[in-house]
Amino acid sequence: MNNIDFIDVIRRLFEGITTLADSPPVLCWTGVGLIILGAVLVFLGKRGILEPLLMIPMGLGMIVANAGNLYLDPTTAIESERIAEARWINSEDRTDVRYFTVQGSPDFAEESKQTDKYIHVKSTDAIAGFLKAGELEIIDAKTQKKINGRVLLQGDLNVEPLVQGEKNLVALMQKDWIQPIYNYAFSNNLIACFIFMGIGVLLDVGFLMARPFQSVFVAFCAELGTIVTFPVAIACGLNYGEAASIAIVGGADGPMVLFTALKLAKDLFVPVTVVAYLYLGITYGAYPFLIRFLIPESLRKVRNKPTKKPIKVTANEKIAFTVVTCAVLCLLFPVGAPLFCSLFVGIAVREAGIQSFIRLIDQVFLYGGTFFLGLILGLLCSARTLLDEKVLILLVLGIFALTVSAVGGIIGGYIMYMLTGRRFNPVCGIAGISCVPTCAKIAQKEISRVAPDVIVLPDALGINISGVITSAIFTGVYIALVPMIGA
Amino acid sequence: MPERIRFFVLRERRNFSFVELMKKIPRYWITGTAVAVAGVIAARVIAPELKDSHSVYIVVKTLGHLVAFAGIFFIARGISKNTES
Repeated sequence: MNNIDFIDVIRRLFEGITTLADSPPVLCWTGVGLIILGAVLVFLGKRGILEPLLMIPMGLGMIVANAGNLYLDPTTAIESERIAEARWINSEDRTDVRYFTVQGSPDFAEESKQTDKYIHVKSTDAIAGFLKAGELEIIDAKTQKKINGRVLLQGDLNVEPLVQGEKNLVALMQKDWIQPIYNYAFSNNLIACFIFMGIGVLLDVGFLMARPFQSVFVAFCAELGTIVTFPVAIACGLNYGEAASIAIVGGADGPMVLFTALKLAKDLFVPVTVVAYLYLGITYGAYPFLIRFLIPESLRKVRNKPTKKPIKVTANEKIAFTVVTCAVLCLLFPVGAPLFCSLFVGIAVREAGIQSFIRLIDQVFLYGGTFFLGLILGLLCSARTLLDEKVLILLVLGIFALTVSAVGGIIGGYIMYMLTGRRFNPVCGIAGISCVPTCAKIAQKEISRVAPDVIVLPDALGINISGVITSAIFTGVYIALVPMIGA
Repeated sequence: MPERIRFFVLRERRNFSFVELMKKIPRYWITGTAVAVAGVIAARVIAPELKDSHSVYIVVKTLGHLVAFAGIFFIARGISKNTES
């Protein structure tokens, strides 16, 4: 009985805690923080403060990704292609943790001097060999004593986002439970396109076509954050692809951010997308305060200039307009064609009145896509994926982009107020942010607070729909231009 | 009716209906689409030919995009005006 190491028994029983505790302190505390954040997101989603459709699966996924850590078996560890992250832990009291530094790597010269922290090897193949063997005996540089230890790699059985090797990918799809959905639906943007189809089915382009100038003008102004954030992000040290990805957050359209990040900044797409979706949840709460701060109550009561006769655009006109716009946009930005196709096919199906397709897209694609998007994003939010020095910059730039876009929309609203002879409510400017239909609802709600009989929802929806198309255009512009200027 | 004559009559009818159809399409559709296509041609066909002079290339490409958007806007504006009147 005396020979039993109780600490070791507890460690074996609670492997999640052991792996968490064996992690470097920063990783460990980030993991704990993310578990708490996940719980907070679920709670806020349930209360309706944040978008429940997205936040509940995302929050739970976040908890699972950080709590469900384990030491991978040697084969899975090698297949994960994160061999360089493996570490050596001494068998005796597990307090001595060392990492591997590979000869020829950028930090090799510096790291190889720190013999108490790093074990230097000739190539990653050597680390793979140690992982397979499990055991490694090293000679301590200070004491010159032999110490026996285990070589391990921490991970989970959810998803490996950056695996490239074909063989490893196939192997991991049989082990990581969400890896097939990640590879076949997420990393190729299928989920983003499904959600965009769903948005298309919800949109009535008639609102945009009824007042094209005001809709397009205000929506363009509301892209101010998308334009301004790009140079700011470059000044902050991000490369063109990363800068474009975080700038698209200004358009407040999740699928666009996902699409751009996967195309232009694959290494950073998890933090960029998480930041985008977190902030999109916050827009509900923050924009009303911004409206009250920037627009005086007297202007919030303004009635929009009514049309001489009610404008009713026929379904045929809407379909013809959809066909022409989709074709022209695809011809101009072929790289954005999947997004344009998804959006306009949704609109066309809606206007054609094909009920079975509408139900399929609205109830299956949109909700299924949103569910898996939330869940996969949550599962990708492990401490080791998110712990990047650029995340703090992304957090600041994300909120900057959304705020500048909102201010740009309100400026557009003020300009329209002047152009129409003070017969346009500047609050409608916030609807230029393409969060459909949330921003249009926010505008109407804020106006109804001070003037319950003023109805601006049709105008706001027109601007909102135009915002979606404008942000798709900006996505196309960035995806087309960034590889050109980056080359 | 002999086969040849019937063929001509049918063709005449088809031509007639096509012209009628074209007349029925409001002018803003044709003009807007033509302008948009012209913009696309400028951006995607003409601009790449002018790559030797970078500034001219950028100007033509940007103008092409703007003209294409103007075409779409023209259609939307036409529908709005037409429906209102």
